Amino acid sequence: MKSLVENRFGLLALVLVALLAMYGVAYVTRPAHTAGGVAALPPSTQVPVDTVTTVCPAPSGETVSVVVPVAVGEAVVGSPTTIPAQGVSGVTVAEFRKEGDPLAILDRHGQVWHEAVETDAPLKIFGTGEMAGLESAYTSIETKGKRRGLSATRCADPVPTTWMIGPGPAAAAVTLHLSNPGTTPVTAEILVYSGEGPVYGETDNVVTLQPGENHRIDVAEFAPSALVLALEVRASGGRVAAMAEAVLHKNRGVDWMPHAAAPATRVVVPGVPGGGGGRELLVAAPGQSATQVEVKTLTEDGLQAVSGREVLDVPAGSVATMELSGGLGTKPGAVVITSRVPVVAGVVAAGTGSKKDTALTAGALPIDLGSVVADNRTEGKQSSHLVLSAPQTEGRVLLQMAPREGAPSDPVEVRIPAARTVNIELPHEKGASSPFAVVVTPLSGSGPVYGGRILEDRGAAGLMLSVQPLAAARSWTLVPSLTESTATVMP
Amino acid sequence: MSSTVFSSSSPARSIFGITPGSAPRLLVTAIVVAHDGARWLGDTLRALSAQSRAVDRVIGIDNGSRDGSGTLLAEAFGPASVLTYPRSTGFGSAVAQALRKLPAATAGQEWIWLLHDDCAPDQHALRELLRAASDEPGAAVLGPKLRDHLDRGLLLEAGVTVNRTGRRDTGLEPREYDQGQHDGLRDVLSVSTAGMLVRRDVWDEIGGFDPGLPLFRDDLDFCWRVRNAGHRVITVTDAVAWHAEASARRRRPPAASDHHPRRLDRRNAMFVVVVNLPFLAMLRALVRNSLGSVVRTAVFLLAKQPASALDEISALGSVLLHPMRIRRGRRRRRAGRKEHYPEVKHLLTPPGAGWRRFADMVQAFVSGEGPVDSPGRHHAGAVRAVTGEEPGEELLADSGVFRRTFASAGVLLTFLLVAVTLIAARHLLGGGALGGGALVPVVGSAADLWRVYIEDHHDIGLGTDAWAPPYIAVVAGVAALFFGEVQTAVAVLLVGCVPLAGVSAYLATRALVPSRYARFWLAATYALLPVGTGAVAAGRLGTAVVLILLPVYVGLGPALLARDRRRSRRAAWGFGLALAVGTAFVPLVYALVAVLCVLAAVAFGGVRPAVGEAVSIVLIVPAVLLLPWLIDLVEQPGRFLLEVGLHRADLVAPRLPAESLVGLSPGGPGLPPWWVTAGLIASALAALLMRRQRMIVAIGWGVTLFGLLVAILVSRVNVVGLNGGVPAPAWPGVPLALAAMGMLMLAALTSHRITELRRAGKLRKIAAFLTVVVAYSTPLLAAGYWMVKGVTGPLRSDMPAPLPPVVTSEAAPGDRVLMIRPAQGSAALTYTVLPGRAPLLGELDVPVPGRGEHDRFLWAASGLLAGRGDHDMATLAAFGVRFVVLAAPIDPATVRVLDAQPTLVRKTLGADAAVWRSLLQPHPPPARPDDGGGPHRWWLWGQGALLVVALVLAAPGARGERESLVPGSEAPHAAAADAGPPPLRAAGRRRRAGRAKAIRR
Repeated sequence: MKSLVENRFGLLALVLVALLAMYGVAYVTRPAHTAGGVAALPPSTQVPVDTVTTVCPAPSGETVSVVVPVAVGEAVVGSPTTIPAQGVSGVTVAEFRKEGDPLAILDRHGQVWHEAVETDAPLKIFGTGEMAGLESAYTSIETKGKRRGLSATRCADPVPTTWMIGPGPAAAAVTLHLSNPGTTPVTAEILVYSGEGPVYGETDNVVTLQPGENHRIDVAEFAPSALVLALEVRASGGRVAAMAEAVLHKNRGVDWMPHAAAPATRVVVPGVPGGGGGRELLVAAPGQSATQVEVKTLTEDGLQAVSGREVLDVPAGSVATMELSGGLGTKPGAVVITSRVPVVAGVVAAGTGSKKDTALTAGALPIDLGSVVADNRTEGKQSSHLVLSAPQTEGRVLLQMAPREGAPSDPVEVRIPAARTVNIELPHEKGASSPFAVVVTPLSGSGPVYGGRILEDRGAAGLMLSVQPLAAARSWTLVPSLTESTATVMP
Repeated sequence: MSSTVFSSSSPARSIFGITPGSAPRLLVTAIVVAHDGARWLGDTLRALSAQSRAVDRVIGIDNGSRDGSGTLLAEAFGPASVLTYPRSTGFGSAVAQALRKLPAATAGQEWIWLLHDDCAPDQHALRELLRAASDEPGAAVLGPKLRDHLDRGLLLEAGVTVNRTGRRDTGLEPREYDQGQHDGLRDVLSVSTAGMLVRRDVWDEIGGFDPGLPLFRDDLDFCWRVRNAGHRVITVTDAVAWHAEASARRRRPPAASDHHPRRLDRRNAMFVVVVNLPFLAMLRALVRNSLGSVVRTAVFLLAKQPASALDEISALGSVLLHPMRIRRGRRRRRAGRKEHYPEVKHLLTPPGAGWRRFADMVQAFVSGEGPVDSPGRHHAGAVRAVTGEEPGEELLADSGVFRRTFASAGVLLTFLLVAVTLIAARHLLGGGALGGGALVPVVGSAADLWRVYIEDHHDIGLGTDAWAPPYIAVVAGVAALFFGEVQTAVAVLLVGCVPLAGVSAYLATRALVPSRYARFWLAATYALLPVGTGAVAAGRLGTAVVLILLPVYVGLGPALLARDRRRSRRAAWGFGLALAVGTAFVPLVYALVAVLCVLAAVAFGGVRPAVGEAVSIVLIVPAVLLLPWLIDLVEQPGRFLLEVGLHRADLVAPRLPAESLVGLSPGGPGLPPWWVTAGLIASALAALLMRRQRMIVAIGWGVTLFGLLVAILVSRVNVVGLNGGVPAPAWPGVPLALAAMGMLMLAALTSHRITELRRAGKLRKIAAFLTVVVAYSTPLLAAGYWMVKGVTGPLRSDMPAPLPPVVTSEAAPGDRVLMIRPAQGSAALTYTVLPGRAPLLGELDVPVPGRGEHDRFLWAASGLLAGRGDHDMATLAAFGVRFVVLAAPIDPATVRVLDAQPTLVRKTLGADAAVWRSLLQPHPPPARPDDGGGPHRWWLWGQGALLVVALVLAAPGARGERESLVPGSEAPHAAAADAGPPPLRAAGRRRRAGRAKAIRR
């Protein structure tokens, strides 16, 4: 040892060896890929919803259905976290602004409450705890009179922004129902886009709603000459439940405008019913830029453009229409619209027969976390169809029926080929009481699935139909992963 | 021999046989006053007898000398011409008494020539004086040019003036050599009594020296009075006298007064100024004097010289508390004071001289010479002892301020590093709060930081009782130097860590590395290490402070091994304190130093028995000072590898390459390429080739390898920051700095071989030159990169406040803010809870324990972001949350979800942040009863006491004045000149002694 140290180059060699050893150790321990960092954060998880409120329009004798479905299959994303005990759980159906006993209390999953309610005030349906994931619908069938037709809608829950698209006051009597089921006053601003551009009234179209207040507004007051329109209802200081009913002139039918998906550059309008009759596509481009949209139809034959009608020009801030009647053949399907600027789209479908009915459908979001339709009927001449489309990759969903009484049926798996539409007739249970709810749950690994439920009644008065695009179920919600970190303070 | 000097008719005769003077009209009487000055008296008498123009009469005065001066005088002049007075008689009163006995000359003008016993006039001095007297009308007092007795060329005085605080000012540079630059006849305010030629009638008219000023300033007062009477005081530079200034240099203790000479000097100075100025000027001077005395007293107290402080303050007291004396003095001097004040004012010290002197003192202190006073009188000789230059070399040196300043390598280094830093940090200059990277934008004042440190309940996060990190006390202390501005303190510590580290390295290794050039290279390279630039760019305040302190550890380490137990212990306390400060910022440094100290104790324990005790002091002091915080730290061991500030994944290179580690480059933003330090490593490797000093080289490389090993360990461990966060590897800055320091020290300690190589053959000269080039490549390349690229990193000076102003203006005390931000590069979100205002420095470093509460909070916050229901906001309000802030980059989906919450109202939506306000009333957490202390308060008091004790034990003791007050001993500078170039330690001690003498006056 001493001689090594004494040698002139001995120490140098020793140190070089040590340095090489250090280099080697550092090289070997170098991580192959970034183990820590952002990648180590937990992913998003799916959790059950805690409370839900929906508002159904004043029934006045029509039927209201409420159901809280049982969770079907496995959760799609992550694993559902256990719910801490939150207190009482149940669903109450009550009238707006009426203290006292509610009309009904539901405390069991999987049972459909389906009643004709006589009140003239809107209904407030409130679910909490385990029973929060409720779904409610309102259906009205009139066989004569000005309001002849089948109109069904999903009861709305209060949201900050609502988009709706459909015929304007020049073609139909459009009534906007605004409700505030919350505990604080809300201001709602109504923006209207017509075929000729945005409609500015003399006064700002602003409505203040006190807690528990409900307004009915005739849209003809501030846009009397619009043939087609798109409505945006913006709430500030709270949330507003907005629904719009369109009673077409000349007895051409009645339907509720479904909530449309918020403006996006790619919109899928699902649930366009099959059969003859006019299919009119409405596209609105709110904002400052005009755009050209590409229109394709998605039927069981695939995704195709309609010859001669591939492109539609939409001026800024207005609604453009395009007739799609031949494009879909007579098959049910969906319409896929791509645009450079965000747009809102919907389809007005007319029924056939001597007395016509109209169904309105609008752009929807894919049903990633499942979807529930509360009111489906198959008794007599009524039939319910599910029109499911998978524009990109193949979709696989589970269907389960929940009747009014009895246990829910077994789930059935349905495959939707990529870029195809599938039309499923919901089963016709002879003898069983027919209003039932259907739960659609996509399986994990499934591509995005869009769909609509078509309710038809071929009665003596002619074909009456209504479409409800499938909207996201309220049972689950996706929670982004959240970690505590003091570095949040800095950008 | 029997002639009496007192008869004017008979001419004086002495044993030297001097013939009487030539011009019968001018009669010159020389008065030689001796007081224990036998050493110089012989020279004086010989010079007196050798005058070209002989004196007519001579009187010798012996003030009770005990060393035979009286005998010498009697031998020279005859016993009849020698008067003996008691020992306590002052110069002035002795002369006055003698002159009273001496009748005035009847014919012609009589002149009196005053000589001290240590003042030997030049051969032609008297002739020149008399010639000037006859040439200049109205000249009543003339004085020669005074030069040093021993160092014959050194100029001492050519006329003296004062400033308004009574400070003597000769107008000369310190240690100025006479090259004729001050020659010429001049009117001055006063001349020294040594060699003063006074007209007898003026003397009688004025009344001679004031007996109330026995030793100091009697000449000044006399000459001022002469001026006020309308006569002139002239300095005649053609006449030269050599003066030893014995009484002033305290080589003989004054017996004329039992007061300490310094006290007397100050008192007399103030008195003279006060009585001789007109009324208004006197008032101003009084105020200035009082303030000046108080400041000087404070300075002396801080410099641990209580005796000088006492002198100063008692001098002031003795002037102010005797107003009657002042009044009497003023009344006596009333005549002519006001009329002649304008010309007197002209002769007083110009106002800029004070600053000039201050600048001289500062630059002398900075360049290591010790404070030099340049009234030119007393201290020049003492300083020479240490420079070790050859005699005569000083003549070649220009003594201008610029040259003197930059001749010192340390000052040059500081200027260069500051310039490099300013150029590199050009984007950071002139902004607002510094922040970014690991540094939260700095807000608040030192008082706020102190409050955070002292309070026992912190309102950060969900509220916690944990101990505040001690580093904020240190930052608050530093901020006190900047008038409480924490932003300035943090900016100086962080961005200025490069020049400060360089200065620290230069000064701390003074004892270890004697060569200035080696230290210059060491300090420059250390300051510009990649660790430093990386720390600045990432806002790592902890590493910046430890970089400044690391050379202090290296410098104090060998002091622990000192032979002197007391010195070793003092160094240990100082080391312990510095280590405590360093540990408060980066806990890892404690482990590093502990390992090295224990190894040193084991290795040297047998040789130096004090080492064990010293090492235990070093290790125990930080542990005790920082105890509660260290206990918190131990509970989360990963935090030992982190430093203060935020721990973020984007500030660390997650897959640090091996060559980066070996190249001392810690990864992260703002670094030069890893090969920049190749020059340093090559120099350190080259040092291994030397045959001598193997031990030093081996130790240095041992430290380097140890540092590298720890760096590798640290950089491969994933740690989660305090209070949660994204796991990321720790930053190996401090271990790499230690490794670099090891290499630098061993290269610097072996650098003298380069000078030896230079003297050898041509090949070796080239090798030496190449070595220097390679060694300097590292700092030059690093500096170049840094200056060109600038501080490229997340550190910014225009950092916006973390919370939008809507929140800070509306938040009530007790309200909390939930802040949410998407994590970089993923959809995941991070959150934190803030107390309604921007967090202060250090608040985010307080651990917030309480897992159960955190889980509940997390559950509620997740639910809020998912829009799960309506109850989550109520849960959050129970925690006190009133605001929800979503920070950039803002996802519209999250905005929609939060908008949909019924109890949240959106206040703003901007590009940077969106703010919602809860409609629910937050239930603030119950206010803790302020029980006024408990263990927390007791602990803080104990910590403060321990800190004071440690400071006192670490401080160097006051260097005693007793050291140098040795009556009758040889001149210190003579002894030093004889001893030759002194060894290092001894020179240090003597330097201290010289400086101590230089401070006192």
